[in-house]
Order: sequence, then C-alpha cells, then structure tokens
Amino acid sequence: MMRKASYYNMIALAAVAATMVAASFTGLAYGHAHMTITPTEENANPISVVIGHTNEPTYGALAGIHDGKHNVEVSLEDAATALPLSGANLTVDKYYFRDIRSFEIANSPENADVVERNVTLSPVFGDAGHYMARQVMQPGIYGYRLYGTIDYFGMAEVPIDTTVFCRAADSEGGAAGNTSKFNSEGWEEGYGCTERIADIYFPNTRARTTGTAAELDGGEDGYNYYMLQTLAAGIPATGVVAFLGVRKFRRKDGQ
Amino acid sequence: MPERLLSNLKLLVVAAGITAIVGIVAYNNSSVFASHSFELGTAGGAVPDNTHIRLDGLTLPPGSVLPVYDASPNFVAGHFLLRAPCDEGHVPTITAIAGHIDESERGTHVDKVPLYYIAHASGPDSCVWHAHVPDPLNGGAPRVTDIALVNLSGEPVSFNPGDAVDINVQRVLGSISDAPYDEMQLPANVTHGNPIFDLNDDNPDNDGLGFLHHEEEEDEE
Repeated sequence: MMRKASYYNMIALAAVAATMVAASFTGLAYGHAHMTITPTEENANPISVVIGHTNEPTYGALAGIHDGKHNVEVSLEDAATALPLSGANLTVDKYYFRDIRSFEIANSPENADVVERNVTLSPVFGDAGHYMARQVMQPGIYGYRLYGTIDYFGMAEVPIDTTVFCRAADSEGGAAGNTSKFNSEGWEEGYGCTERIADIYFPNTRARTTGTAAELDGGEDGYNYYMLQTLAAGIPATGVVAFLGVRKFRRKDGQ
Repeated sequence: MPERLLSNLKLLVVAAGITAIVGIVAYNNSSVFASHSFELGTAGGAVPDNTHIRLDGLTLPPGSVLPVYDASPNFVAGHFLLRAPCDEGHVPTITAIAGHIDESERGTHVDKVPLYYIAHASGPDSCVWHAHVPDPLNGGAPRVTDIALVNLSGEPVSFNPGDAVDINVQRVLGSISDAPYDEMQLPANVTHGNPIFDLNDDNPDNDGLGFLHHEEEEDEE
C-alpha cells in the first residue's frame, strides 16, 4: 500500500528533475581577435590588444528568441605581464556587410552596407583594461576600425589605429568565405561573424516543411509559436494525468 | 461522497500547482538559490591572498634559497614588503627574487625584484622595502608565480627581530602554462643586490618610473 507521503515524494522528485534540466542551459565563450602593438614611445613596452563580441558566438536579434545583444569589447594588457591597461581613449568605426557577396564586391570598408562612425568604447566599471560599446546585432559580417590612444601606466600615450573583421564560419546560413582582406597587419585568430539563430534550432522546425534554409528564414516565428503551443498543451495535460493517477492510487488504497 | 469529491478537488489543485510551477521554471529557465545576503563575498572574482612570514631568528647560509610564495601555475599581481638587514646603500644583504621556479630548470626564470626603500619605516638595524609585483616599468620578472629570498652575499645572513616578508596578492593575471618563459635563469644565476629606488632622498635619478613629482610640478606652477 502506497502512503500519501510517497505520492508527494514522487511528485517532488519529478519537479526537482524538471527544474534541474531547465536550469542546465549555459552559455559558451568563443575566441576573439588579438594582436600585439610594439610602441615606439619611450618607456612603453609591447601591448596586447584583444577585440571581439560579448557572449560569443553571436547571433542576430530575433523577436521572442534572442535579443542579439553582443557588445563590441576590447581588452588591453601589457603583453609581458598581462597587467591591464586602463585610461585608454578608444573609438571604433563600425562596418556591417549583409552577406559575403556584399563583402566580396567591396573595395573598401567604406563600401559596407552600413557604416557607423565615432562610437566611443567606454571603460567597464570595476574591470580595468576592459572597454565596451553596446549594440544589438543582425546576421552578417562585422568589422571595426579601432583607433585612439592607450595610456601605458602613465608613462606614455601609445596611438592605435587598426581595422579587423570577423571570421566567417563554414556553417549553414553563415557568411562563409574569406573576410580578412580589410584587416590591418598583425591580427591573429578572430571573432566569429554573426549568424542566424534559426540555424541552431533543434529539432529544426523547418524540417517539417520544404525549401532551402534561405527561403525558410521566416520560420522563426513558427518556432516561437511551436514552443508556446507545446507549453499550452503540455501543462494542463500533465495536470490532468497527475490528477487521474493520484486518484487511481487513492482508490486502490481504499479497497 | 461530498467528502471524496472535496479530497479529489484538493489533489487536483496540488497537481495543477506543481505543473504550473514546473512549466514556469522550464519556460523562464530560472532557478532559486539560497540567500547569502549578509556575506559580502569578493569583488571581481578574485580572492585576496596574504602571506606573512617572520624572519627573525633565521640564518641563511651562503647560496641558500628561502621560498616565501608560490602561486603556480598562476602568475599574479600584488604587493611585496620586506624588512631585512641592509648595507649603507640600503641594499638588502639577502636578494629578493621573483619569477617562475618550475619543476624543470629549463622552465625556470627568476630575476631580482626592484625594491623601493622606505626610509621612514626603516630602523637602525634593518631596512624596509616595498615592491610592485610585477613591475613593468622598472624591471624584474614579468610573470611571477614564485617569490624567494636567496643569499648571494657569500656570507651567512642572520635576520633581526622584527624582520619579516609580507606578500599581498590581489589578482591572478594568467597561467604560466599559457605564457611560459623562453629563457632559463636560475636563482644561482642571479647576482647579489636588488635594484634600489628611493623617492625620498635628494637624488631624482633613483626614483624609478611610474611616480609623479608633485613638488616639482607645484614649483613650476
């Protein structure tokens, strides 16, 4: 005979398991582009410059699914010691190409589909050597001209003026291709170009329909609807099943 | 029968409540945590680390190495204080070294710590020095996992009452496995005598880099 306490224990265990599964989704961090500046100024030593986006890999904004907020961030360090360098005056010009075709026909970053100039990179409070400008991204190719001066521990003002673009991935829907032609010398590795979040759906709701990935980009709203529909149907159904199950146990107890 | 109906109704409410909570948690991906509001915790994610070692009563024979700090594999940033016997030029009779002492000698690189002599905290028998770890402007090893005192004077060194070394580490800068030294330099390869700077004497040439001369600036104004 199953006692009442056992019912509640089973229900509590199920709730804990569901909560653990729901809380297990975590973010991933990906690489940034980096270079080392060798200053000519007296008393200044080589400086490590790192640029990328927060919360990489980056995905474009999509209503109800992803906010697309991936700030452009820069980290400055003394290369030999890794001590952070605060007090820099940094600005970026931002370049956005819609796709690899648009990028490949461009002769200059100035030919970008969208250009935004003179965006200040502000120091991050409480995190010396870390600078950031907020932005909400769209799928495509992002590049930055980073310029200004770096304060080398109060001993030298080191100028910086360099351009770097994201690295395209060879994934479905990504901006596959070489995106380094406008990069200044010295950049190594890189930050990823911004992809469509619909490309990482699992299960892929578009599999229920036909057409290419590009043709089915409008399927994101369908995914959101699918999620809500699942919840709307699942919660009452779970409640009814739980109710019937417990009632059955109680009847058995009564026999 | 009404009693049974009431009992079923209670069960239905409980079941609906639990499923609603599970649904909300799953959809919002939120969690509940224990409260530690009265514990301040650390700022910036690093735990400050302080090491204080009394040196009084110790005698280091020639060539002896006294390890005083090891954060391997992390190289760190912090502050170094030393009170020890010194000569007339305020150079310690032992030599303070820092860098990375690896299990393999080929991975080892140490160098002398640039020291700032603190006259107003020194006594007749011992001197007091401060140092920044690392010091990118005045030299020394750039990546410090280990700090040690080594007797390179050729004579035994006995410490006085009150002599001590104090190391305060405020930040981890990286892992030595990601940024190893290319050049080997063992404690025995270092020569006696730390570089000494003094902000308080009449010689402006031994102030080192990184300090502003407020009096001079005021005079100019």
